[in-house]
Amino acid sequence: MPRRAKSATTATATAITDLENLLSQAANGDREAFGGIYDRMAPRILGLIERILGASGPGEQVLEDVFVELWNSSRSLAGGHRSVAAWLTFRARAAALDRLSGGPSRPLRRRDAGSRSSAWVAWLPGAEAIRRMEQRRPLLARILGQLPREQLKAVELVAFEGRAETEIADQLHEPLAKVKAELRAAARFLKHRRRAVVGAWAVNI
Amino acid sequence: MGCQHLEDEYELYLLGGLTGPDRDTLELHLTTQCPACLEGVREAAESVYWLVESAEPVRPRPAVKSRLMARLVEPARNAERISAARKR
Repeated sequence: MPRRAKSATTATATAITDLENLLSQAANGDREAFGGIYDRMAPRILGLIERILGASGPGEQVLEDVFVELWNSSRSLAGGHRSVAAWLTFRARAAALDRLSGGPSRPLRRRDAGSRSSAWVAWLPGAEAIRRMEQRRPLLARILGQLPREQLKAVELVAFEGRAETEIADQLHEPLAKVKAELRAAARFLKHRRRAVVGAWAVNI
Repeated sequence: MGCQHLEDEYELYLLGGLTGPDRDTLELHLTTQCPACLEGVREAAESVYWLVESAEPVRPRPAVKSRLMARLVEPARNAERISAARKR
């Protein structure tokens, strides 16, 4: 069984800053550099995949497939300003949600950008923005726990089960208007708190 | 009508939680290149990263890396392989 890696949080928080350089090397066939990306990011990505699929699911297979896709995409991704950590995170979520819905993980294609679960493709955060957030990771981690329970539940259903707001209303037996209001309130809260944390070192969360 | 009412929908949109007329309205508005909304969605992508990435890390078994590295085909060779497959 994969082992929980609580200590990996701190280790990877300080180690993802040069992923873009490693990817540039990997794009030229440097397997050791690619292995470095894997070593730094695999625990985080597997944690996300297992959050979606469960610890007894095909998490390691999905992890492997996502990294193979990164290798195969390295030439097109390298040299840009997009964050490798963000690409891996968003791609792994999409792949795991594909599995959750019963299908095999689909290769990422440009036309996927228009589908409901792939809107992120056109909006991948830049490496610099991700670096700024990583520096405040401990503070950011505390914000989610401050969401009201009902809002957190709704947000988690969207993030980790791929539910749309109409599906959440059905699942929770709540009026759609209430679910919409909770999700928007949660988004507003998270946005404002993240801005406070990322924009100021001294903020007290 | 202004677009301020769309502000709280950016994260939902990126996560795939927005459907129907709400999603259509936002996507149509983004095609107008509204600077505030383009910047808003860009910023929301950072929030979505942080939200999704909050799961507790899990260390994969060493065999996973071994299998992965064995599957890697050199990028140049891989391009040739894809090109050959498309011709078939």
